[in-house]
Amino acid sequence: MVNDAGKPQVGKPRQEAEEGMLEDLFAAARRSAPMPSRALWERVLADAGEQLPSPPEGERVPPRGRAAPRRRWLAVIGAVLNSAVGGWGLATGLATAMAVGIWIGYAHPSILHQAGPWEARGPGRAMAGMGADAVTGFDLEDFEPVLGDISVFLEDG
Amino acid sequence: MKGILDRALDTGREISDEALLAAYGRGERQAAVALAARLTPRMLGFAMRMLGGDRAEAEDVTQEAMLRLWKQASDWREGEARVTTWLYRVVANLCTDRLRRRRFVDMEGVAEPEDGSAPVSQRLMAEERARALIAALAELPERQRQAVILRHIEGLSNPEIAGILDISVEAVESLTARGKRALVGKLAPRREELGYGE
Repeated sequence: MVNDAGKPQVGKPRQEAEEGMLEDLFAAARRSAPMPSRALWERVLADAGEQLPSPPEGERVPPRGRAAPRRRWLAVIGAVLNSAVGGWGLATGLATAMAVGIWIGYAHPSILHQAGPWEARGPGRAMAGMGADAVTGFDLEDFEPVLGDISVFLEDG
Repeated sequence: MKGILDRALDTGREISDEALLAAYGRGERQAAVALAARLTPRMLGFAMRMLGGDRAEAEDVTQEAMLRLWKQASDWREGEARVTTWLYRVVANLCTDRLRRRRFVDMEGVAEPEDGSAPVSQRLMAEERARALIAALAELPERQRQAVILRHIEGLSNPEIAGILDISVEAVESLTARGKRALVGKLAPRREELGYGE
């Protein structure tokens, strides 16, 4: 086989196969983005909490506290998940679920006291050692009824 | 007063990274979580691939980049730059610093591809392929590696990459083309071992 310039096209199928291999490796890499460890989430959120600017007077967002309806929380979680999944695929959505799980304990620990199926799985366990400013101290498995089984995506980091 | 997530739920509108950062700059804690959830995995992935798969170092870089973002929030001027462009640039620069330090301190920072003489089981093939790609990327010149990862793994456009690396679009095209050719050259001898045989 010769090309238009009269030069032999030796190995063109092989070159295409090698480029196909590279594209396949790229595609696999896109599908398997590394998941941040729980420790990284906690460090990032702790930094965010420390650096959080004070809201201007009169623009303070009130905490929801115990009265927040569970359905509303599910909607908030769903909105964040959808936003992430839409652009970046499932892995990011699951990572988001982890972050949101940490956030619920971090920013609104009182949600853990609301009546819900997770309380039957170990009341008090999720709140161990948690204060209003603590990032750590709860188990993401406790959010399984809300977020699905995300525990398999946790890494020891 | 409602927070940004609540307002977005009411209106059904998608929230941009820039709007979230502005909300964080106004003291809205929820915005930080949404931003962290969106950006942390992306920056970790980029950093890990830039640093030859070193997770611990990549996590440190990611945390540092996110910390700089939080510190920048109050001064962020909407419309000037995209948050992702700014953050990718920070991560790229932090990785460059780490790689330079590595050259002087630790010459064994990048893992060598494993001996391909042993057959790789089907179960481990995906991991082996991922390792092979990381190892081949690690052998590229740094700018080529940045451009290839941003284009072909992170999925950014050439103009976005040009903005991150502060070079022209033509230079991005040249870097990615040369980078891909080099990767093919490095990976081709391992085709059969990686399950891409005849």
